[in-house]
Amino acid sequence: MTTAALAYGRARAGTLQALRAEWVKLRTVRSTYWSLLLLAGVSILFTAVLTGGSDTQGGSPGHGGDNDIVLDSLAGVWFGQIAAAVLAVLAITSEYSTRMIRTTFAANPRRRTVLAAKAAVVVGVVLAVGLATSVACFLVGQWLLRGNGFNYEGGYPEVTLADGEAFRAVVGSAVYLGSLAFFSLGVGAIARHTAGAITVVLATVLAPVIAIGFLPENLAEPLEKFSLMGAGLAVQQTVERPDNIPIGLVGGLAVVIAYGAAALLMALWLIGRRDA
Amino acid sequence: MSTAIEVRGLTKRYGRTVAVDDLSFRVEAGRVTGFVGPNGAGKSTTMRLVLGLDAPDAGEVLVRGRRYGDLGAPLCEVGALLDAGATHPGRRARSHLLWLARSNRLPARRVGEVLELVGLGEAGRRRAGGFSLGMAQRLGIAAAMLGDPPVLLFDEPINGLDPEGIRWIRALLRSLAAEGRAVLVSSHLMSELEGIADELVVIGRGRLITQATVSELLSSRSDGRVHVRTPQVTEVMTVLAGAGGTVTSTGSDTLVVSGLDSERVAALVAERGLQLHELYRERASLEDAFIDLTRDAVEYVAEVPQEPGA
Repeated sequence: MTTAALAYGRARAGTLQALRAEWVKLRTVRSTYWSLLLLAGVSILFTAVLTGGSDTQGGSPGHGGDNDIVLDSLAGVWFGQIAAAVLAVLAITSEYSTRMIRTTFAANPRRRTVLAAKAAVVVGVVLAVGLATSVACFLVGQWLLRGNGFNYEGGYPEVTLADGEAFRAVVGSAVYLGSLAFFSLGVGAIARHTAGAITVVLATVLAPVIAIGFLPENLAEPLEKFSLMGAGLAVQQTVERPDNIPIGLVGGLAVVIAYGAAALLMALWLIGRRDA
Repeated sequence: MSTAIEVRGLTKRYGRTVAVDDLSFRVEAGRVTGFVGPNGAGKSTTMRLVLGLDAPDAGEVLVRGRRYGDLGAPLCEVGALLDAGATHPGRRARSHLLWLARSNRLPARRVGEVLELVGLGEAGRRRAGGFSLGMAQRLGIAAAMLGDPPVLLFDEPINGLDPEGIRWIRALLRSLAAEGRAVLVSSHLMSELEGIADELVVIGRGRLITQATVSELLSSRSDGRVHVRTPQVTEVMTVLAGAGGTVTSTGSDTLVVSGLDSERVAALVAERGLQLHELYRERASLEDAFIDLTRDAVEYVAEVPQEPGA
């Protein structure tokens, strides 16, 4: 027999290898670039539209309104987030729809390692692009708002990324996008079907927002607090307003991580038990 | 010689359907083992079970003495082509092989090497979605060869290939076995495996029908009929019937003789000074052997018009 038992002595299929393989997979399909472009583009576009069309309705130095100009400049993320969800869903469901998942699991039968590596790579990329997006939204939004009278003269002192609250809101928006990707990947791994997974993710994100309009205050408030988007984007609030979502930084983060962890833990549990 | 794949009492059910039923066989190194059975016999299921993709309800599969899930670098132990279309259509062939290489810490230069090996050197930059079936099969084989594994599984690799592709893959399978590798090739057509397989594992309805070498299978079917073509049909018939043969006329100048071997027929005809244009012993084909073996095991049977003399 001329073939050595292991032709490549260094060969192994471990965690680092799974991470590197998933990174190659993510960066070698066009849908990744389109999704990330949409995440940034739609977010910035909506921030521009929303902030570009607002005005102060009066105000003077020291006597501004209660507009949350940090939140307003980050509102585009509410629209761009769908692209992050779709990217994360496709990262796993496209493997099932093309049956490539069998090649993946034949190359590395440690399925939980593979799924965790995929989650790490996808969430990492969404966090990075999400942060760039929210910084861009903030800068574009602040610039447009200043031009629309949200400046010192109108009672709105200039806000920069060096301000603690603004910094928290910008980073928090990126963390929310990463968490949404985490949750979406988990749902994709459970559903193993693109349309089904996207439907579940969109319903989870949007249904509470729609339902809140029809519910009495005593039901609407907890629903908003414990909804994925409500809890996740409450971090954008920097001004006390009556319509604020009453959940703090730690609470919001806990809720968002709970959604992602629940989906991914279920996916990890299922992936070893189901036939590929 | 080490056992490359050992299947022991393997059983797999999907709901109420028993896809694989107490199946046991061995695949040895250095030869091509054909894995044949009618459609729905359980070939693909067995291959998925070998690769640990599906979990068996009973039994086990050992690959070079270990369970698939315990292999440290699976691509260096077993290469598999399950489904040529199972690539992301938007990913370039080279990138598809690169993520596979990374997953087992194989050197990136292997990507170019296996692309050359399967004749896709130039097409490596193209997206897999634009590949013809033949090119997709080649890409799947390149993926299987990435870790230079001693054991190879190919599920229906000849399906849908053009004649040039078929010739190429037959030569490749032979050369892989000649290098000492164990090669398991499935097919629902025995004729596809004629001339490539050294050994056959025949299954039907998920059960093992037989595991035998090709020559064993053929000799068990040989029934010793002799075909004769002669311009003097009547005279030859008389002579052969007189010598104890059972002779049937199958055309204006052709006869089929049983009960006499070809040497005896030739001698009898020569003694009388009669002319022969053709004389040959009928050889059972693998296809006939296969159809006989699996007759009771096919899922869907259609009536086939019987050939005269068959």
